Amino acid sequence: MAAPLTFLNNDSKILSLIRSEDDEGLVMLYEANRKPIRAYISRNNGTEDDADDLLQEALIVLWERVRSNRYQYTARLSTFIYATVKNMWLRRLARLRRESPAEVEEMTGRIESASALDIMIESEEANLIHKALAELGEPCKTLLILYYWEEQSMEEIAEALHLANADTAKSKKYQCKKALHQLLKQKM
Amino acid sequence: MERDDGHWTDNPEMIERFVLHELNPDKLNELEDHLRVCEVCKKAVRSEQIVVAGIRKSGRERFKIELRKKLAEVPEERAPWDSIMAAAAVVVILFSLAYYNRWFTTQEPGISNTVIAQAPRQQGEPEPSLKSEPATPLSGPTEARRESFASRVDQPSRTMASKAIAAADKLADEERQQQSKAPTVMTELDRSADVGALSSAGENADLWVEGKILTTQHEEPQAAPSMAKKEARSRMASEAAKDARMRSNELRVQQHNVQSQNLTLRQQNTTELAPQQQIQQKTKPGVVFTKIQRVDDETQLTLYLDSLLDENELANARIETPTSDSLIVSFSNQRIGYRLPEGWNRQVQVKPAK
Repeated sequence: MAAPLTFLNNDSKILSLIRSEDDEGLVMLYEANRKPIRAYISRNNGTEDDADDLLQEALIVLWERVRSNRYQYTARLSTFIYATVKNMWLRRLARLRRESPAEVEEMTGRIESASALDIMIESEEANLIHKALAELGEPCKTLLILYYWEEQSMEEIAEALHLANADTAKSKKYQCKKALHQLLKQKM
Repeated sequence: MERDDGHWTDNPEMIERFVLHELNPDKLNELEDHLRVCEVCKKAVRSEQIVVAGIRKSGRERFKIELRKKLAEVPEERAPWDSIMAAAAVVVILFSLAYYNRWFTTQEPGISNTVIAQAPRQQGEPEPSLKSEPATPLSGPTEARRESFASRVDQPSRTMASKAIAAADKLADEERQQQSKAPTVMTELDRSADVGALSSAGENADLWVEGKILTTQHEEPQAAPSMAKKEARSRMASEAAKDARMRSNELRVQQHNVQSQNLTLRQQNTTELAPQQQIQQKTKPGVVFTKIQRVDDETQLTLYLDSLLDENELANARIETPTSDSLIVSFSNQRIGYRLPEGWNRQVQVKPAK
């Protein structure tokens, strides 16, 4: 029988906190990584605000991956955060310098910050959808975010939004999505 | 691949499952092959991908705002409470030790003439003659300073008073040491440094003084370890030698019982002391807080003891006056030494022994 893994850091605790929807795990990571990230960004012509913004982005990326079971523990969380921030910062710098993001990707390896869908979407389209969602109002906005971003099941969504059951949630989601498409058609 | 009723992408559930990668590999491969040749389906998939990506982006932004709010509450550097608590504990312990060792008091071990506080006068009691009629004129600037301190003592601020007088005493001692080149005759009591001291604040004033327990008989433990026994024997031998030296100095040491002089011994339990004095008493093992009062022609010595003595023992106490400024009260099992201030020694006049 294999001996249980022993972590010499808080990573297992943080991961279990994220899985149990406790934001304290992210707070712990934020505190632990703020200083080195600020140091890295300031060494590379960034500000403290840039560093904090990127660190938050990296935390969200981690959160998304853990919550959707796409995260594999191959390195310490701080390593993941550091690599993600580095990747995002280099991409942002490349964008500013009108360089090819592909070159940056090659430089920084395969640790991705966002999904392919996020990269694909243009900021103009994203703004349109954001506005359409705002117009859609509640509970449609939250329902769609819970389903597509948090990837919650219909049972979880029904519970969170106080709907009768999963079927009601599924039906509601269909209506919301249809309404969103109509709104987007009007805007595009 | 087109369905009978049109493109497969007309089925919103199918297109969503495709975009969310929820199709099995076989079905996925089949649809991907079709996408290469069907522009309508390709467009529909692209549109769905953008919507899903947009919703996710909105979700991320919302989460980011919430997270930012939460992180804004995080202090720049969260205080290391464990370390702070440990440091606080160390500080408390050090202060406790300092208090018990009296690091912060002006009463240093080498400094004599310790006055604890002046007792409040009782009704009808004569005004202390500190300023008006000192029994023995105080000499030198330091004595004057001390008197000045004492005269300014406010009754409610006894602690301040004692500190001020002790400070004055310290100054006086230092000056005395520096100025006086003349050799001083050291009595046995002076050398022993076991004797508590009185202040020369003046005669007729009530004084609180510390008596030092000089000898305790019958206290050797029955089953003491050999080293302790040796030490006890050595200590007893030393005490015996000291006693012998004192006895040999018959010219100076006079022994009387209490009844033979105008001195009244009284005793009170230490619980009768003021709370502050009780604390002080606990920090000074071997010290007996004693109040000296002048009542009519008599001097009353009130000893504050942890356990009261038998009345006979009190009555049969012996008084030794080895020098003009010192006094030893001897009971059957212990002796308590005092140093008398100028002015007070004349009050403790020894009557001829009966």
